[in-house]
Amino acid sequence: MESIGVLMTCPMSNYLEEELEKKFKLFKIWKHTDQKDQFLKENSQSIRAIVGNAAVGASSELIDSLPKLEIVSSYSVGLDKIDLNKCKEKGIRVSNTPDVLTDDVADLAIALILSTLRRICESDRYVRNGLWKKGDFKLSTKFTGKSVGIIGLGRIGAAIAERAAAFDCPISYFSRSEKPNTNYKYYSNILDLAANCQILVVACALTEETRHIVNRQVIDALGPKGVVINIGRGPHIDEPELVSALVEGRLGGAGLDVYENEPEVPEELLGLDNVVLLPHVGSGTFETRNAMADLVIGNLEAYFSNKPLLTPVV
Amino acid sequence: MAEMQEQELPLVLFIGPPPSTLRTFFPKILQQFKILSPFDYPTTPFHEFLKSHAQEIKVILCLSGSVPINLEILSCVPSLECIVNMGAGVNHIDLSECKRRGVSICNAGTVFSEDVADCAVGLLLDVLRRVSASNQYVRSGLWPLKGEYHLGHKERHESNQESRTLILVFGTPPKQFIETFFPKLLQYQFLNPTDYPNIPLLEFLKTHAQSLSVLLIIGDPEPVTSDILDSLPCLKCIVCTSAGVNHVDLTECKRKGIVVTNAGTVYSEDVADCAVSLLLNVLRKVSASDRYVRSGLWPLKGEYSLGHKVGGKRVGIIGLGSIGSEVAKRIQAFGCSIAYSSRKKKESVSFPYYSSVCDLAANSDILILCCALTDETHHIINKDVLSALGKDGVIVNIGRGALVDEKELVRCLVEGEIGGAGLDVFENEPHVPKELFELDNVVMTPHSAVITPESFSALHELAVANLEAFFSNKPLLSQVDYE
Repeated sequence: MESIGVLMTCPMSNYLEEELEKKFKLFKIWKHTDQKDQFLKENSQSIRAIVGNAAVGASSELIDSLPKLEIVSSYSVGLDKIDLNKCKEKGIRVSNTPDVLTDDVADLAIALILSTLRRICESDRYVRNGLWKKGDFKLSTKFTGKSVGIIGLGRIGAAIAERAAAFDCPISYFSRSEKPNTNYKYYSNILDLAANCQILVVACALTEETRHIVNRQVIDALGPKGVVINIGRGPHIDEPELVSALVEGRLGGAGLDVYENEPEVPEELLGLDNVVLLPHVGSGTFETRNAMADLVIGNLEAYFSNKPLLTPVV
Repeated sequence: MAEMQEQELPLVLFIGPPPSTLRTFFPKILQQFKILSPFDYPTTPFHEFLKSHAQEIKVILCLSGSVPINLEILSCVPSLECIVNMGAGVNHIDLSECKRRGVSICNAGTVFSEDVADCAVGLLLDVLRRVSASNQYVRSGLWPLKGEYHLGHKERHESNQESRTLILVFGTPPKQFIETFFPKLLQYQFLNPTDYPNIPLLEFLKTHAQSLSVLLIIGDPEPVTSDILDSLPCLKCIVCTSAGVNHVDLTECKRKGIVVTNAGTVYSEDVADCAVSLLLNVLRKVSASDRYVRSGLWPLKGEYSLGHKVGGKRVGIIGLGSIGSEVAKRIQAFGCSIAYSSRKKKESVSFPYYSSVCDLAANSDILILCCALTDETHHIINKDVLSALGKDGVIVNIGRGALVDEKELVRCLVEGEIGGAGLDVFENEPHVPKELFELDNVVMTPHSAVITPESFSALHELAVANLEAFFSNKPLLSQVDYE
């Protein structure tokens, strides 16, 4: 397979890069940003696969510029950066990395909830700035027993629910349809979910329908004691509305791993104590990133040996 | 008005301020009496003045609180028959000498009583309702800036005051804190040594607290030593508001038959939540990456470094009591395996047991300290344990600082001999070793694991319940074992 051309869209993992280089002919497009069109023209005939991620995927434009493209193997579980319709039209296969990162993302959601409610980062700053000698830190608020509302009860949503349940939190959720075999309370309307929980967690896929699913009305329903946690995609939340709600005290707090325009984070948030801001590290562990890389390679190897894809999407 | 000839007016010696002061408020005195005053003879020393001019004086007019009418002065006025004092108090007059010489004394009688009583009530209301202080607050323009002034106190009826039971209290949270979080404690009257800062503690206890049967300790103040216990002969019950009671000499309490209660399990959930959050925070670098974002480095330096997966890690819990059990319940949901060490193996628990903390450390990726601080557990995390835990190992401490040899821990962290630490407690709070501030793999919180309104509310109920149980001879709710 060493002659098969694989295009990697951006730096995402040294391990993945090394493995791809060993097994295929790897084209690193980010090294040619100045002469991108030239580079694509020269190499498009040999490129049969794209490896993209949550930051840079397989856009319509990129797909069009690669006439020999047969498979997109995404180093992510989210598919919002891939033009799936185009892939379907052209018969291009698509794979992603589900399951291997479910635990990490769910762990991070709980870490964000705890850090936001119990003000862990803020109090760590307090100690580091030498303020403890001047007086005790303020009150935070208990997590155990608070009601958690989850948007999307897929693999990640369910894993979050399982963890929150260990903290005796009553769980409710909103999704396209009610899930059988769960004891959690279902709301068919997201406003009802927001009005009936204290911690709202975004855990669904980003699609046309779910863009800005957390909007002004949802934030208002959640209220000044409510907390929003986003481990989905930035565009799930109407970011300017979120920022003004936090600044004006209409929302109690937020724990965010994703933003509408990464790596740009709204400046107003940087100064707020009631938010926790992480740089999209949901799956950011050595163990999981290696497992994700193995899955990307596994899917490519399976495809090019005419075997079934390990984790097909299209 | 017709005036009598000056020579015919009776002579009165006025001892006090200059006689001109009489003009404003007491003109009738000047009309009807001739005033003899030392101020008319400014160059003559007072005693000489008396000896040369006051030998015939029969009446002294004086003012409370100014010149004392003592033996010396009285002996210079041999003809004195009467002292008229323009005040209520006569403590400035040598009463026994006057009695001996048969000198009558009159004072202001009851003419002042209403005004003084008004003043007393005014001071009381001002203090309780913070009238002067809040007036100052408004005048200095702070009201629009700082908002609502703090609360005053409701005036109590006398009968309620007297019927409140007196309890000894150690620890000094602000009154507002008590009013906000522990209002039911106000049914008791507090005797607090810090209200008497000029009296050394043991002396204070010996003079003020001899009959008190209950000591309430708020927070974690100075240790309750055997000396303190010896100074409280009637003490029967100590109510602590913390889970840990390492600051109380339990051996002495057992010997004297003093029961001790603690916070029971009211904190266990919050502390367990905190332990889990510190664990997640260290492994997934939450605080460090939050700092990274806030400092604007994400667009500049790109992706933050990777953390470590929580699932599959081996967690060793030291102390499987109420807190340890709540931690285990939560951690299991993240796919971690649990093992534990404690004084004795717990038969009802299925987690693997290690009698040696070192063995537990050797078989764990993460150690969580959930045990009480005693003589046996002091520095239970020492060089050997840290070495057994290894360079990828993480310590989480939500117990007491002294459970860990802090110097050794800092050294291991700085030199990369262990992987990281999440710490809510330290050996010398609020001092935290500065070397830790440089480390991204350490998360520090200021002993705040229980600082939530929910914990305080639960503690409030428990502390009051224990006090009420004690005073009505019923079983206590969260009595501590002496061992």
